[in-house]
Amino acid sequence: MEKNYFEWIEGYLNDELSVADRNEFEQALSDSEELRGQVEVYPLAEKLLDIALAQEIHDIIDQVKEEPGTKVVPMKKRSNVRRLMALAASLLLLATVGFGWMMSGRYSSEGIASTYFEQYDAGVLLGDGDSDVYSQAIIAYQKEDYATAASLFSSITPEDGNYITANFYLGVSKLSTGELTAAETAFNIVASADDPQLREPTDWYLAMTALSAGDDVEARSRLEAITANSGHYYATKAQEVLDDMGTVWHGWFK
Amino acid sequence: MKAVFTDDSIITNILGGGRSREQAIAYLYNESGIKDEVMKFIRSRSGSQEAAEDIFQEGMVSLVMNIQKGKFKGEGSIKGYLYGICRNIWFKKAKKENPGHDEWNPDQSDAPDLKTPEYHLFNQEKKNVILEVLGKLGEKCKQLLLLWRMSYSMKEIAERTDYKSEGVVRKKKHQCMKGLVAMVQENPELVKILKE
Repeated sequence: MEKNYFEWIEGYLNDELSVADRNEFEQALSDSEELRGQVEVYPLAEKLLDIALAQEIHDIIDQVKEEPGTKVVPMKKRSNVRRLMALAASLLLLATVGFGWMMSGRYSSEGIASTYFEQYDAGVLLGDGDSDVYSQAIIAYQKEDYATAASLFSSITPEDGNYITANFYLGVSKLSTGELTAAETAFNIVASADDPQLREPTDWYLAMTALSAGDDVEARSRLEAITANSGHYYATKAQEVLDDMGTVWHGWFK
Repeated sequence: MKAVFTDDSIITNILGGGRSREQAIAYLYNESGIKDEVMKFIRSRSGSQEAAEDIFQEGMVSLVMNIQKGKFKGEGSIKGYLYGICRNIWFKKAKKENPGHDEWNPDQSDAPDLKTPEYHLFNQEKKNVILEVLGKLGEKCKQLLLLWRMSYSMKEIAERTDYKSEGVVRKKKHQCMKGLVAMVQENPELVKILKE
């Protein structure tokens, strides 16, 4: 029975034939114009199949674009609420204990950090039924139970695929509870991994950590590095913080 | 409570196909927050809103294709991987449009797969030519070949279809592919589209 060389084409194109088979196939190629034509078109047929698969995905995306689910806002916008609260508190303080005390609270390094700090949203909604440590940590984090979240995030080992992300949320949790050295350590782990998704938030939270610690030099350096990149997600906020740090009030009360 | 989407569940859902794949794609597109990051990156480099949307969609298609083909090895987060793909698509386009532009430097790229092919959205006319050929191929051949291109093993294809064994699937695959190659050969318009 004549050999069916068509079945060899894939192996030939992927360089998977033995030397002997390859030589035999090349001989068959030189003898058969039909086979040569099939070899030439075979990659195009594969491409057609890939295009069909890709088109299917394009169609799904077009469909989900038209029927979007509930949008999860990437960042919880709490800063305005915090600012209003800070303003209300400041007015009360002004009425009771005086202008100076108010300004010292608002414009101290820690006060500025507190004003601009906001929890980084985990971006996914998890239920209590999710039992793995990472999911449980995210749930605690989303409930703002930072002590529990930090404890769970810190138990995730470097072998775990979520290690870098866990350290990021660990950093935010530690920053929230005022454990600044631990926050900095966690953020530095994330920074050294240079994850594109977490790079810019980590820049920001490291600046916030330094500011919370009263290390104005470090904070300013990190904030200026952020504002130097106009495309940085936190460039505008970093500039606002730098502006606050440049006020006379900060000079007095830092 | 909405569905949970960790990186693992996104991969599982995409590989599962059907409605679960749609849910994972919808999550990534609408809810994961990565789209905003990509849009911001492109917009900050003077890319138009439309260009940014198109690039994100192309990146999404590449991501799903790479997961389906087993090319995504899970060495980093899915969002980071997608961000890297989109960034590369953007730089390739920018370089093509402005050959003298020096921002693109492959050494600076942390994207996992610089060779990820681009999957443009074809216009309806070209799409019809492709769909017509696949239609002629017959549903069973089409299903088998698409599963094969998604890197399913012959055994897995046999399990997902009503073919009795891996051997039967292998033989059928060659027959179907031979039919497809013949159809492409007979269609110069299609060859032109595929060579673009």
